[in-house]
Amino acid sequence: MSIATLFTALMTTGGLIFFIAGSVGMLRFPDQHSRLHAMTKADNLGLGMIVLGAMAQAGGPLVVFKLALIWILAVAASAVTAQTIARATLPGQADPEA
Amino acid sequence: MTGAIFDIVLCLLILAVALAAILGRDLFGSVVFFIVYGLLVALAWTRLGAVDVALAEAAIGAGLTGVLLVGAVARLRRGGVVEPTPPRPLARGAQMGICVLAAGLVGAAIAGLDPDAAGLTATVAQNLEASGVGNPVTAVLLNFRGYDTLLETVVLLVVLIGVWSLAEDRYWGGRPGLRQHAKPGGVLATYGRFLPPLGLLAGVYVVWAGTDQPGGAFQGGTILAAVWLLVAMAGLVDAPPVTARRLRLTIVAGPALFLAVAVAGIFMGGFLHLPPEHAKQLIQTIEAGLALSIAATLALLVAGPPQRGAR
Amino acid sequence: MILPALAPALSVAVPLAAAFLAVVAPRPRLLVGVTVPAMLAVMALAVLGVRQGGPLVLAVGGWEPPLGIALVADGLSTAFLVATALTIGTVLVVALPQFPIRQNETRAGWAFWPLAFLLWAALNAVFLSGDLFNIYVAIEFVTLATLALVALEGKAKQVEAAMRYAMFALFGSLAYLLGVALLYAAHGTLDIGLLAQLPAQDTASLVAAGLITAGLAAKTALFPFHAWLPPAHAGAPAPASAMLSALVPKASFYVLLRFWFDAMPEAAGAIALQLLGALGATAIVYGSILAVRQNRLKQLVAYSTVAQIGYLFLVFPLAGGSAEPQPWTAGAWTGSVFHAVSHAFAKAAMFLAVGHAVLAAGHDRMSAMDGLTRRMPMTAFALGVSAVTLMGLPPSGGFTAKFLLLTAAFASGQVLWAAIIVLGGVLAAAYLFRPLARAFLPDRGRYGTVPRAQQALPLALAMLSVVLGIVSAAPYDFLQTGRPAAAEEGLE
Repeated sequence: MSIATLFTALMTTGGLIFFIAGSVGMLRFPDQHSRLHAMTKADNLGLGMIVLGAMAQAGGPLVVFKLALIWILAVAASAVTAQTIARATLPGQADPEA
Repeated sequence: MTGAIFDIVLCLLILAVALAAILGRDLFGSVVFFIVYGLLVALAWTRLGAVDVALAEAAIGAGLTGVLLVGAVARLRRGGVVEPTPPRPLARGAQMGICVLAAGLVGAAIAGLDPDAAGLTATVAQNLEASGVGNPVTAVLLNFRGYDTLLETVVLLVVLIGVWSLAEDRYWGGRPGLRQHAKPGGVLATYGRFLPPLGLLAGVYVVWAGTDQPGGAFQGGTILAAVWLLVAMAGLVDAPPVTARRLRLTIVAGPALFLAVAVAGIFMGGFLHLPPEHAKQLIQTIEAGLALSIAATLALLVAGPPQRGAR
Repeated sequence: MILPALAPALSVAVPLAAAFLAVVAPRPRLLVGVTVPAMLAVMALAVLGVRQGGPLVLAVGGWEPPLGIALVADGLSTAFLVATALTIGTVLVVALPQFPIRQNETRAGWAFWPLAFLLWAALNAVFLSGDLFNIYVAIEFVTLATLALVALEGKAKQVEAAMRYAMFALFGSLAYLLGVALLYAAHGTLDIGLLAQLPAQDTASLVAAGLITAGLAAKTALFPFHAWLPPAHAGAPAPASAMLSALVPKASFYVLLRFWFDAMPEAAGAIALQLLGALGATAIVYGSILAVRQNRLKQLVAYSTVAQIGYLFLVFPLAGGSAEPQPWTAGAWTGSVFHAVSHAFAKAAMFLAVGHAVLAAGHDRMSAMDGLTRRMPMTAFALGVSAVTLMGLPPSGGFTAKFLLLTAAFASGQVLWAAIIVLGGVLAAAYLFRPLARAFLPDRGRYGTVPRAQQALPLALAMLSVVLGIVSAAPYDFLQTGRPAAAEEGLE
């Protein structure tokens, strides 16, 4: 087993653990805000590790760049989504769908 | 081996998620499962090597349809409808029975098919040279069966007119959808400024790449529509009134351009004939026009009929 | 001659272009004034071309099937194209004062025009297509334009009717699409002409045939899929109802006809054919009984459509399964097409005339008919003439149709169908008598009126359905152009 493969396996496993932790948090935490917290933070890290693992298998710099871009966009999107959902579910907000 | 395990797990997941979407008692939950279902099906298409279909499924089947369904649920809740009345057990049983019967028949039919039949793949490959493009899917959609695509793009226009005609009469002349409220300096507004350059690049690239690689006007147009919707949600732009001439020109531009090329073909050898030496440029022109109209139409479908006055 | 060869492409392209213009520059008067004569000219070209040189076939883009799509204008498709052009052409002129565009554009005043032109293009696309997947696209196009027209009044009731139609129609589309996918997987082609040359007794083909038939029957509103039709057709504005009731169910029926007689003539089992006939017969009787019980004019006319659609399906037991054409096959087949066309004229005329009576009275209860013979004689006459066709009395096109079907029923020894045809005529007389009798009553209260030029148009359309009966020989021969099962002369 080459070093690259080992690295990928380690990173992917680590990423998956974070994903599982995030999912468990989403299922078990009591309120909307802590669930969001578990979901976005853990998943961002998990995705980052999987992307790093995938980079080790990439064929060239262009693929590495694309993988990095995917991670950055996913992080930005999840941050904004989390913020928007959190704001919508603040107490005192009459209508979360509006 | 690993591939086979992955595929089996994927199929089971698709079935489970589909069942969850159908059997769920909660409307919003069903919609969420439907979106997940779309993404898993997109994955399945990638496994089958149909990247074009996967892109379309992810962008339109899961993404756009999902947004429309979420919007519909939100509207139902605003209107006081929380959950639909479940069908009576007898009706439900009859529906299930019919579905099981139909599925059984289709299953039996598929079992009897020749698994190695390749349809028209070889014929398409033989004629790819003359189609002007390198992506066989684009060759079929824009050249060999361009007539289907012409009608399909017009169908989108029909749907938009249908949605608009659900507006209340007093709001005719108003801007589509509700006014968006976003804090000018807030996170969403900032994101609405940060994403468009990248989003536009991605959308235009997918349209452009469509001639030789997976992509095309429908997938690219959906990305462009999503970018516009994000910027609109951030409160940075607003749709023009439904009566605005420029808006209407935008939604018919693509189909009209396609029709014009089709009719012009009559003078160059026949309806919708694309001369091989110019086919590539013509297809790119049509795709560009279609992408613009598709993007505008899809975004307007999500925005919905006008729900506020002209000013 | 090169011009007739352009007719198929122009039949779709001209209304499409008109629809695009109607979206951007809403000038209904100008658009109708140019499009309707232009389309009539295209129709003349098509008829001329088919009469002189047989079916017009256009491989779109120069790609021959199975790779490309062929448009085919034979006698059958041209007949439907011409019927559509005459019906929609008249409807659009009648609609001009009802959907005006003034200084301030209104919702329905704008939306009606592109939708009407798009429906026209979509119907023509169905009638011309020689490719099963292309037919799916075209028929979906018809459905969506119809859906928008059903909801055009904008009240909750019409939106509900539209929603119900959408459920039936989408079930129909999906079943059809599934069937087409199976056929492609089994045979590697979607072209009707190529499919006809292949054996079709494998499981996939038979399941596909079942799915396609069920889907199209739902779209045609064949009993027991009829529940969507009356609220949808009665709730739309009269000009829209006229197009929806006269033409839209015919589009899906036309595809059924193409499928069972052209694409897979050998797949038809006797039981399936008798079942379709039985459903048609039930529709005739049940739809008529429901029509008798209606108290609203537009509802009555809409239920009459449910009944009249039933006759179309008698073609399957009378002429289907044509592995070996029988002497009566051509007569039955032609009779059902005659019925489709003359019903199109008569039903459109009836909806337009009822629309005028309703406009004048301000409501659509039966009393809107009171004194119609004195107040609006032309409208009353138009209703009377179209009723003659619906009842199948001579000399109308409806009579020719029923005569052909009856002859075929007796010749083939299927007397039960003959009894149903006769019973249907009596029931039609029963439900049409009530409103028509009231037209001779004295009227009480205030009524408006409709300009005479407007009243004349439904009358012209109703007269067409009678003319079709008087000069039936020429259209009979024309319809045989390009018929695949080259049956004998039939029973003239």
